[in-house]
Amino acid sequence: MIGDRGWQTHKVDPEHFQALVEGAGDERAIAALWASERSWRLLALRDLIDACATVDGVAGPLPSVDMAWQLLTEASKSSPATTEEVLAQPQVGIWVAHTLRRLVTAASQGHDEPPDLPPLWADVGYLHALAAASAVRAGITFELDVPVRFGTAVLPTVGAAAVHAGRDVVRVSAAGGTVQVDGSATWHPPVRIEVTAGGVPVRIELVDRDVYRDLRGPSPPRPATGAEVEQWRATLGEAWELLVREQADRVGAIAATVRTITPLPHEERFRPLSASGAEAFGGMLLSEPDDALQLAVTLVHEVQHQKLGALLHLFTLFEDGRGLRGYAPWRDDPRPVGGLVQGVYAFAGITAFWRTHRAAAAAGPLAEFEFALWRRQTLRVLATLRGSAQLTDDGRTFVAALSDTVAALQHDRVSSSAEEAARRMANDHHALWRVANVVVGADVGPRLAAAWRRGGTPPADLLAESDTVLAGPPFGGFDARAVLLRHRLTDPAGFARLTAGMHPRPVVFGATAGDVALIAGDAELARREYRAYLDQDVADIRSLVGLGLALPEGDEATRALLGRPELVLAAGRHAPRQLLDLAAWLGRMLPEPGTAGRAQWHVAQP
Amino acid sequence: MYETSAGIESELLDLSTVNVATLRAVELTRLDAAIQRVRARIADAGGSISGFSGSFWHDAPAPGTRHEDRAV
Repeated sequence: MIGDRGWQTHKVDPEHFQALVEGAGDERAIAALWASERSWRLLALRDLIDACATVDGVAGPLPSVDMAWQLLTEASKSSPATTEEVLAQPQVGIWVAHTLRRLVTAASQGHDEPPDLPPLWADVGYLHALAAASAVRAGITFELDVPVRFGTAVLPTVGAAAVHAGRDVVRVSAAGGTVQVDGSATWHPPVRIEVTAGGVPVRIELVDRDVYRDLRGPSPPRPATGAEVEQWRATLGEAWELLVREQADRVGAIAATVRTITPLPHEERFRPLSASGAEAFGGMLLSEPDDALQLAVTLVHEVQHQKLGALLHLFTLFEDGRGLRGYAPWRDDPRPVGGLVQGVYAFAGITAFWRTHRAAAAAGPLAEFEFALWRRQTLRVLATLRGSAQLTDDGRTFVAALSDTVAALQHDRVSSSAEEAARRMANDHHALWRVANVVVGADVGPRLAAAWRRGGTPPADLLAESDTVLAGPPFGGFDARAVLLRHRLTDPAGFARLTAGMHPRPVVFGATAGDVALIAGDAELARREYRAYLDQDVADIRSLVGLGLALPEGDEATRALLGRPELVLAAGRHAPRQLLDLAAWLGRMLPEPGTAGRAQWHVAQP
Repeated sequence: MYETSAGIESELLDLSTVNVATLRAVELTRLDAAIQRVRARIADAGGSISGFSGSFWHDAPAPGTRHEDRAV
């Protein structure tokens, strides 16, 4: 198609599109995404440069934007490949997006920004740093002032200078590829890691000092220690060996996509932190992984987000959700349609990873459980999306193809114990999500409690599905019992120590002694624990749902505690000592947990 | 999806013939609609981020923008 202004649009090879939807895609498909991301980046850069012209004094004490752009242009003419490489860095996309938002605000409100933000020129001046970095790599002789942020002057892909205190600007000079930064105390070259397995290399840069390495905005350097770098190198090496050995169809796409990792501190075991951003193709934030297996599956996970982010620049797959939210089993808060689409694509990749990994000789019961869990959860959300009016025609094509892929995985045989554990953990998270997020009318609880006391059947409107959810920040910890199960599956001895009286909370946030008993298989003890917690606080939602899991299958109270826990809580507040009787009464009128119900909710108005 | 012999038509302008040296010389009206689409996506800062563990107990560590010591 030729655009209405005479431009061609990117064409996507149908085979590449199909491969990306159904699997990993290959190096050629990823190369095409890099090409389209280049167009996206140039459009954003052009918008940023034009926006700079709308704000007086936008460069502050630095040379003008035009001067910086002139140097960048000289570098591009002298060494186009290296300049393209600098501009393609993931952190450049984060910077463009952040700074463009500030420029738009500044142009519309004058300079009336929050006083605690750094001056606008400090962000604009990253252009000067990009120009300087490109010029150094092109071997150009020049001098240019660049901003100092958090005591550091960064030249992307070239290095970073820690600068003596009290300076906001430093002069960079270079000749013949040798760079000098005035006022520099120490110089830090980029931290690059390359590992190879089976003849397949992967090269990444650990971005630890660049102010734009975090997707959410500028952040101070967090220099990686030598030990941390070596740990990353070793873990990446092991993870890459695993991926090359087991996921041959994915490693080409991963190696072609990933350019930078922004390292974050280690998180709780089985709860890594990872993130990707559509404006930062090729870059990802990762907490230090537990082990190589976790890093391998996280790379698969994040590369899925990367690919979809690039596809979303090419195609509009969904429209604004207009305040609608849905259930996402990987989040504790209700998610808009865009979040659901990102999630199903990422977890389709994760499911495929575990499917292959569980066949490996060293894989234990964890792989079996993860495969059973995520194939179920991903298919559930795909069912929601198939009914979503927010999908465009292209979005429906995408979701239909992905649904076929994930549906096919449901036929694989899985051990009955893994399937059962997956079903219970899925019910657990869904019930917690409901009781925390689904809004129940203020009159529903007292009216239900009154109907129960009368011993009759409640009016039908009291059992009707609420159409409203909260949209606050995530509660956190709804995966606590699933995390405990992962401990049990991978480290039975360590889990046994938890059952020997140690309070689990320091090990697994959100977990209680009742949870440990439940996961250990002692349902009777778990019931006692949960009831004791609920006697103290009927609104202890984790115990409310835990009680539902600890009761015998088929129990009428279970049906209510897992299927409509928000109703149990609403009514239970008015009869806290008779919670189980009330739940059983409600359960007699409700379908089994997991029965399809409402798929999307409106966001509650504050 | 609209497919031709060249492939599936996307909505993104192909700037493969443009580089840094020529980018600012392109007449803005030829890029206007494409830039508006880019700007609309970028305006939603949080919407473009995916993958933070949403089931953990604390918010992800916040960037340090608002605590930057500056000489001026």
